[in-house]
Amino acid sequence: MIRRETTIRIDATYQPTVAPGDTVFRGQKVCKEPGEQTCPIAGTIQTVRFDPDRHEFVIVVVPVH
Amino acid sequence: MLRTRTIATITLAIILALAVPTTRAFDYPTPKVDVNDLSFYQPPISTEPYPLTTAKEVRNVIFCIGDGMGLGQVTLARLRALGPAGKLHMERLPVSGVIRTHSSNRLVTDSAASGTAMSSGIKTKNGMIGLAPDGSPYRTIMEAAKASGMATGLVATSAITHATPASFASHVKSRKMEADVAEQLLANRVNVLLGGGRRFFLPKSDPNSGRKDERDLLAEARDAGYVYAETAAQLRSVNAPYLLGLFQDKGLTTLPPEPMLALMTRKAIECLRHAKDMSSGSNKGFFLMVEGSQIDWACHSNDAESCVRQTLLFDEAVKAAIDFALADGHTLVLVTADHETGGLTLFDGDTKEARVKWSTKSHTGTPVPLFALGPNAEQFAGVYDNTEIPKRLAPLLGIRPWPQPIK
Repeated sequence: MIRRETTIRIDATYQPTVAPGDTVFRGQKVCKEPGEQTCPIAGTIQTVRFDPDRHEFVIVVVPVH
Repeated sequence: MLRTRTIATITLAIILALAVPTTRAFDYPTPKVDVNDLSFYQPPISTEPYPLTTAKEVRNVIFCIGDGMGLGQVTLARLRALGPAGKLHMERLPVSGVIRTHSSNRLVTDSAASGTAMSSGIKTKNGMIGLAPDGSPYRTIMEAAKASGMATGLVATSAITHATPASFASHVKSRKMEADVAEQLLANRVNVLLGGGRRFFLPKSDPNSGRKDERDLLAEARDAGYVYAETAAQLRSVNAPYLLGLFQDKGLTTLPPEPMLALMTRKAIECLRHAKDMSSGSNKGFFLMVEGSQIDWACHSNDAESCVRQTLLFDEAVKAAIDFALADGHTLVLVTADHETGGLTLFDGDTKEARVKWSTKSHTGTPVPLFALGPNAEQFAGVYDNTEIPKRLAPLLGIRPWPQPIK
């Protein structure tokens, strides 16, 4: 089964700890936000963009096949 | 010989390219704006500070908040627009202070916790609006002003339900509850509401809605006596005691044909004065909050040019507040920020083209500036916490005690 890309949203108050091109593993923390904001899949970070209306960073992860 | 030198040059360029560490780039879309066009900005005609006033009675308050605007942002805007010897309008205010911004649970605040500190005088957790950390609601300075007979207004370039404006007239456990905020803004009878965020006023059946129910808040607002505007032309032609202006479904673009922040500020002042003229038996004035919301947004993208533009748009709105305050003589103008965004620092460059460096894509815990003008402005000098702002403001408006838990 081919898994699709996954989107993670984090509060933009806190700094993302990943950038496009980074390889991430499942369970890896993706920001300095308090609490456990972790990557649900292993893969590669495709984009990190700021969504001003929701004041969030949107992180897109492409899975490893 | 020439060929040898060319090969050597190319080789050296490749070596340097590999040797120089590259900055990890985020993929942020840049708005399609000519950010270098600053022709909208009308610079101050002088660098002299505005005078201190001997008047003591505060009838009106205009509270201007540059979201994410630290001293770096102010300085960069000044350098780009005016050069090192110039002064922005806000920098000409005669009193200045330094504001600490931490929230109850973090060194680095967000706009919800900081807005709550500046409106209710209490520290709360990031994300919470108008509530103490235990969830108990506290009255905002704007609600207290309203209860004392003052007219009230909120102006922003974000959605009017975004964290900062929401912090002045609503109480929700999460800043994401913008549909609830929209209901509370109207229920609180805020006289003037200008900004974006129309989607939270539209019923779920509307394709542009951001609500999960069928409440049509635009219809409810009209029924409650609000005049509704959604274009700059409509805004210009209105003078009503209750005005709802929503110019985008989400945040504003800050580009024509939308009304600029300065125009919205002038119109809000006009309508609030009209509201006071219409109300009998009260000599109280108005309380207006104006937010330059998108300084923060530019800095989250580490976009220096957009940061300059947004700061100057905000400074134009501050100028509108100053003009009214100087003519009125009983208006207190406060200009500050909820937090700094981006960790912006300036390092060596020529005098007009300062080079910038960002330390983060997020908020920082560095203190922010405050500038003040008008009666009792000197009370806002010094280094103090953001919760002190409403505590110092409340007695000037005859509001005691402060802070006020809502029973």
